Amino acid sequence: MKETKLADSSDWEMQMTVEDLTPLLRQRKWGQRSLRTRKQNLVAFVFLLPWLGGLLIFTVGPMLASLYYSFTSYDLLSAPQWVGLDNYVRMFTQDDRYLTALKVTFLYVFISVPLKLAFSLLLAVVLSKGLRAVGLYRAVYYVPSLLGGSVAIAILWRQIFGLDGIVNQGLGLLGVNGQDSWISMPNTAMLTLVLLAVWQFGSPMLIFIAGLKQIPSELNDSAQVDGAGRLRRFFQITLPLLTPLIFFNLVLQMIGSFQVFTSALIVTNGGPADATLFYTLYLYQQGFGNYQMGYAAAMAWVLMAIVMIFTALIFLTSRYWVFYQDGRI
Amino acid sequence: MQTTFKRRDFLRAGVGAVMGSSALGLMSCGGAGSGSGGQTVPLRLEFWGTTERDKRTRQVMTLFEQSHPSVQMTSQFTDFNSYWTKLGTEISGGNEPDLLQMDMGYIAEFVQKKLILDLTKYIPKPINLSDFDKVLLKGSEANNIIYGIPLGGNYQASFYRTDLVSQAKVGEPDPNMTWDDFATYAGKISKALGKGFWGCEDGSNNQVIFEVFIRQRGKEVYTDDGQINFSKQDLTDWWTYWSNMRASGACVPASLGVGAPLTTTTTPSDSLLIAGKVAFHFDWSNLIVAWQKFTPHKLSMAVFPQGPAGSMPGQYFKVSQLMSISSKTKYPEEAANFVNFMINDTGAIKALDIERGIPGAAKARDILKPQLTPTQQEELAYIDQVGKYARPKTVLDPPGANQVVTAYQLYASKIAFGQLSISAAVNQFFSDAQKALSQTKLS
Repeated sequence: MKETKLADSSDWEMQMTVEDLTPLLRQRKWGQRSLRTRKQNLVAFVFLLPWLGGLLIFTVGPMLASLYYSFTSYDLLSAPQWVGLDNYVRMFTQDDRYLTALKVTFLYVFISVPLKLAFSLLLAVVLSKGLRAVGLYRAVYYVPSLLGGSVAIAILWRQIFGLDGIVNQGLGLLGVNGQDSWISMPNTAMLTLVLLAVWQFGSPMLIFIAGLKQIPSELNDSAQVDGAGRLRRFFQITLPLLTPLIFFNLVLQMIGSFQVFTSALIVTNGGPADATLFYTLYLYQQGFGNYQMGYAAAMAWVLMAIVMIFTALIFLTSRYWVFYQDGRI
Repeated sequence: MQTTFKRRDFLRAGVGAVMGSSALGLMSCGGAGSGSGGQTVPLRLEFWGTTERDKRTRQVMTLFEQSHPSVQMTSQFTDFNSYWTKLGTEISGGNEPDLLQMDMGYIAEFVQKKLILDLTKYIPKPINLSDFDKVLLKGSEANNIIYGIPLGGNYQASFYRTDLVSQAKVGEPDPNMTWDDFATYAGKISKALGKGFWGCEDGSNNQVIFEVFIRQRGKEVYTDDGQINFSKQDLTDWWTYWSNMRASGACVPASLGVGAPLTTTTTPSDSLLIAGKVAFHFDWSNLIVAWQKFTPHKLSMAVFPQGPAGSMPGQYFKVSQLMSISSKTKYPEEAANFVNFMINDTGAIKALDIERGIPGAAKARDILKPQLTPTQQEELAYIDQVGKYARPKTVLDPPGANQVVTAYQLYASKIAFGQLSISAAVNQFFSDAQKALSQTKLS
C-alpha cells in the first residue's frame, strides 16, 4: 500500500534526524568540544545535506506554499489572490459535496480499518503456527499489499464486481441472480472499495507475525498447564501482549485510509451519486479539475488537522488499552 | 525479553506519516527555459489525444521542419483530463508551450486570462482561411475574435447497433422522429430483444444530448454573460422524460446507466453499446471510428430525436479542437506559419487525415475523400446529411461550466437512484450551478 510505505520511510527519516542532530545540540550546551568531535559532526552534517535539502525543497517548501495558497483564490492560470479564511468558511458552510466527502471518508475509515486489522491478525495467527511451506504462504499473502494500490488492480476490481464479473457469475452458480453491477449501486459501491482495502492486509499481517513470535512460549505453556483453552489463551495472553502492535498498525492504517485515493479514482470515480467521493478524490477534482487550487490546499490542511486529531485521540486513549510487557505504560 | 515499542516512536511515526501526506505536496513548477541560440527557432506543441494522434502530428512536424529548416519542433501529449492539469501547472510555472490545442469549453477562460493570442493580424497571411468552412470558423470564435483555428469539427450523433435494430424489427430510425416517438421506438426494441437488453442508454446525465434538447426549444444552455439560460421547467421536463424511460424499460435502469463509473480508464469496451446490451448510444460523430474498432457488428449514425412540431433544430457543428498560440511565445510568426501549415499543406492534410474530426478547409476535404475508410466515409456522409437538423451555436460555455456539468450529472443520478424527487433535484441543481458560475464569474 502506497501510503503506508510513504509513512514508513518518513518514519525512518524522522528518526535519523532526531538522533543524528542530538550531538550537535549537545555541543552548543557544552561549549568547547574537541576539534575531532567538531570535524565528525561536520562530516555527519555533510552526509545529511542531500536529505535535508530534499526535505526543505520537496516537503517543507511545498507545504508552506500550500499553506499560503489555502488563504488565496488560485486558479493556476493567474496569480493567487488573498481571500483570508474564505476557503475554510466555504468548506463548512456552502459546500454540500464537501460534507458528503467527509461523511463518506469517515465511513470508509471506520469500516475498513477495523476490518483490515482483524483480518490481518487472524491470518497472522494462522500463519505463525508451524505450517509446512509457511514462508511461501506469507509471501503469497503479502503480494496484495504490493499490488493493491496500483491502477491495474483497481481496473481488475472494476471487472470483478461488474455486471458480468466473477462475483455475479459465482452468485449465479449459487442460484442468486445478480442483476446489478456492485460498483454502480450507491449502497454496494463502498463495500467493494472496503474489500479492496481489506485485501491489502499484507503489511499489518507481517508486523503481527513478528509480534506473535516475540510472545514468550512460557506464558502460553503455563496457561495451558493451568487449563486455559485456546480462545482463553488468545484473549488473555496473546491479544494483550500484541496491543502495542495493534496500536502501531491502527495509527498507520488510519492515516493511510484517510488518504485513500487510487481505488476511488479508478474504480468508481467518486460515484455512483457521490457514494464514494473520498476526501482526497474531491480535493483532486477541485484542485486539478476545476482549477481551484486555493480551495484544494485548504482542504488538504483540514484533512491534516483531522488526521492529527484522530492520531492524538488514539494516543490519549492508548494508556487504557495498550500494555507494555516491561511494565512501562 | 525486551520489547521496544516506545511512545516516542509512535509519535514520530505519526508525525512522519502526516508530513509525508501526499495531499499537501501537490504543487510543482516547471523550470527549464528554452535555450534559443543562433538561428534555430524552437517551437513546442502540446495537445491531448491518443498515440495515433501523436504519430500523425509528429509527421506534420517533420514535414514543417523540412520546409522551414530554421524551426525545431518538439511536442508532448496526454489524455484530455490530464492535459488541462498539465497546462495549468506549466502556465503557473511560466513554462507554457508555444502552440497549444484548445477546447471550446476552456477557451473563454484562456481568453479572459489573456493566455492565448488574438490571431486576427495573422489572417489571411500567413493563416489562409479563404476556403475554410464558415460555420465551423464562426463556431470557434470567442467574442467575435479568432483565438484558435479549428482543426476539425463534428456533430452530435446517436450511434446504433444495426444488428440489434434489425433483430428487433423496428426499422431504421427516422431522422424526423420526436422525443416521444423515440421513447416508443426504444421501448419496442427493449421489448423485442427481451430481458437484459434495452433500447437506449440513460440520457438523463448526458450533457451533450441535454444541450440539443434545450436548443430545440430555441435557447442556449448559457447566456452571453455566462448564466444559466434554461428554466427549471425545461430541466424538469427533461428529467421527467428519462424517469419515464427508465420506468417503462425503454432505457437502462439506474445501476447500468447513471451508476456506471466514468473514470480515466473507461473505454468504449466498457460500454453497453459495445457489450450489445443497448441499441442506442449518444456521442460525437468523430468518435464513431474509435468505437467501431471495438466491435465486429456494424455501427451506424442517426441524428438525435427532434422536439415537437414548431421546435428549432438543436444540433450544431462543434469545433473538436482548436490550434491556439500562447500569448507568451517568442515566435508568434513561426507559430502562425505552423498553424497555416496544419490546415493547408497537402502533406500535412494527408498525414492528419480526419482523426481530429472533419477538417474545415474545402481543399482538405477533397484531398481526403479518396483515402477514407468505409467508417470514415459514413462519418462524412452523416455530416453532410445532418446540416438541416442543425443551427450554429454562438454562445461560449463560461468558465465554471464543467462544474455545472458535474452538478447536472450528480442530481440526475440522485433522481435515478430514488434519493431525490425530480423537483428537489432541479432546485438543488440550480442553486449549485449558480454558485459555481458566480465563483468563476467573467470579470
